[in-house]
Amino acid sequence: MEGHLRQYFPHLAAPTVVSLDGAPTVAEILQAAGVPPELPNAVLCNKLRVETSFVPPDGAELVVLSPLAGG
Amino acid sequence: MIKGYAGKVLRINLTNRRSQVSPTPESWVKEYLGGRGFIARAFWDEIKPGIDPLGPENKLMMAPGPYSGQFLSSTGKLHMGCLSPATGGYGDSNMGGHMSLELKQAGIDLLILEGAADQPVTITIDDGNVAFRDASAYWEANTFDSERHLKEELGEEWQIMVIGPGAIHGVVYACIQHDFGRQAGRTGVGTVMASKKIKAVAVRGTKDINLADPKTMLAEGEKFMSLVMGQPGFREWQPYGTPEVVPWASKQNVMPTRNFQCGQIEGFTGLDGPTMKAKVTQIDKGCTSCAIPCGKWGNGVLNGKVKPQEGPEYESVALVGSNLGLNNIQEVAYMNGLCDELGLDSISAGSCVAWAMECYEKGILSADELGRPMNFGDGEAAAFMFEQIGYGRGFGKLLGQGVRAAAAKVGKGSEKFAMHIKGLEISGYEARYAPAMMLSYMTCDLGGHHNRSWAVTHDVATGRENMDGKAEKVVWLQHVRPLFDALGCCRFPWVEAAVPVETYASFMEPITGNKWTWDEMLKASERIWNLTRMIWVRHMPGFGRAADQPPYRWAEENHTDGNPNGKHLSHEQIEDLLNRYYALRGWTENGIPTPETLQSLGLEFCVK
Repeated sequence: MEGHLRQYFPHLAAPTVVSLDGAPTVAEILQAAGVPPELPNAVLCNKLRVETSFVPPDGAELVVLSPLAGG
Repeated sequence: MIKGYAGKVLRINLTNRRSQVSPTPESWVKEYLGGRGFIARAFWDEIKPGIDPLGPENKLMMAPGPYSGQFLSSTGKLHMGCLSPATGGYGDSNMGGHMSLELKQAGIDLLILEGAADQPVTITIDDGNVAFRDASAYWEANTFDSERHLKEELGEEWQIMVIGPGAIHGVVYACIQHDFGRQAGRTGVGTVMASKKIKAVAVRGTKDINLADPKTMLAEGEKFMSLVMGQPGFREWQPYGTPEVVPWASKQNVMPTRNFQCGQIEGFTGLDGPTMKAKVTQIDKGCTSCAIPCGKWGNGVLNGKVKPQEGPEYESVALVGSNLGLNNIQEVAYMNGLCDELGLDSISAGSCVAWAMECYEKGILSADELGRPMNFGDGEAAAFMFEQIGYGRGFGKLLGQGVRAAAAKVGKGSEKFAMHIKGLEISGYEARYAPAMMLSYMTCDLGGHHNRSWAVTHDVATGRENMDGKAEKVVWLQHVRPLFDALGCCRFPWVEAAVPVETYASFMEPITGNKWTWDEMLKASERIWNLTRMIWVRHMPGFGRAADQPPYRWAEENHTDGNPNGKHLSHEQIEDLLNRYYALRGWTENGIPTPETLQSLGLEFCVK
């Protein structure tokens, strides 16, 4: 997790492995990690931006980006 | 000579056209850092209560900070302040670009413009040498033409600040423009500049800035640059700029829409960053030394009419876009360019036009009174009214006095949807069921402005219904975020690229030779915050808790869409938030800093 959302999810400040059965969506992975899916500004899967309905491949790296925080 | 600073205060009296130089007070460096801190301190000493904001007694002050123009990413911010003609209280604003470095290299830590000229003038400051030029020929010209004219006349190496028609026609929320689209937009700094008959300030500086440890600063700067550019957040949002947040803000129902009647506009993806990049942006544009060029230069288009402009930023997308019922980014860019050309704060101007549109749709104002039908979503109507405001014509003359004054004049219940706090129109976040964000607006030391404390994420992450921890968060943000304004740098490496904020303490020693801890820097910011509060107390008889109240719409009307639909904070919750906030700050129940609080911060001079 990147940015100011880390303060609310300190367990995700460092890279974390989330293992789920089946073919979970990004939203389901976020929920499993304790993050409401609507909270991040964007999610990257293997460095590409994806929707929360996207199903990442096994072993994918997700990066959760915080909302921009006003100028 | 104080390391890292230029060392001089330059005072220019427009009445007698004399200038005077004095040393930068060393005690100010230790207590107020620079930028906003210097301005607040000088404001207290020099701007007396009871004066007319547009009279010669008001002063317009500009100050870079110790980090301005250093070999450090995103340090191109110049701060400015004055008694605000928009609110009658403490006013300040800042802008990016290249002027902060130029002023510093011209030898200036604080520029004070006082008195008033009898004829339009352009002030030139050439390495600290002051001269005056007749500006009558281009006094009424728009901002872009004026800046272009001066670049041609003086040379490309000069940095220019100009005002536009809005300031000249007395709009109380007029901007100062620099670098063809960078605006010091809020609280009417441009209006005060016009009241002194200053059309432009042009600066050329070639002096070195004397650093305590240039070698270490260079190494720290390189490290910082790599840190910023290596952040995933930087790579994702930089191509799009701040409109990147439009989808998130819309999905959270916090994007002001149709004069804050709801928090999400239909088709909001038409306003997002990728759409802007595809349809508006031609080239990125950045400030001095910045690794994150967030400015986007491109064309706005309205019904075939093209207007080159920089932006729009998120705030403008919200206030001259969704809040006017517009969801076409090219039209919004056109509105933004029009406001910039006229020298109008797009936040305040957008809010005033949105209020007029709601008055029209509710039958409070007629097409005859307004000059034409004024429906939400009508780009031609919006553009018409921005021009009316900028040139002081028709109903635009009244809207140019701000939404508080306009609603007071029109009446008929329109005061209930005049979206301002302390007379300053509210910026781009719907906050009636976002307690930390609402408290941020209520207690901002300018009025309805977001940049002192942006707390929407905190509300969403910790629960909008939960009041606990909200006041603590707002106080912390109000110390951290304005600290950047005192240092002379931009918040984006922290808030957008996610660089750890404490990193900023490490640069003070190589720049100034003095070691500062992060906590010491926050204490300086708290000192400045209490000082600006005392400026309000001093200038506004009876100032206190009543001034910190939200607008009627937020206090009384429910959200109409999304998750917060049907909700708003109750009176009890609003008062509870204020109680908690005042207690944390060491202020009275009426919101006044106690003598003990002031003394603990070294502000004894504020105690009567």
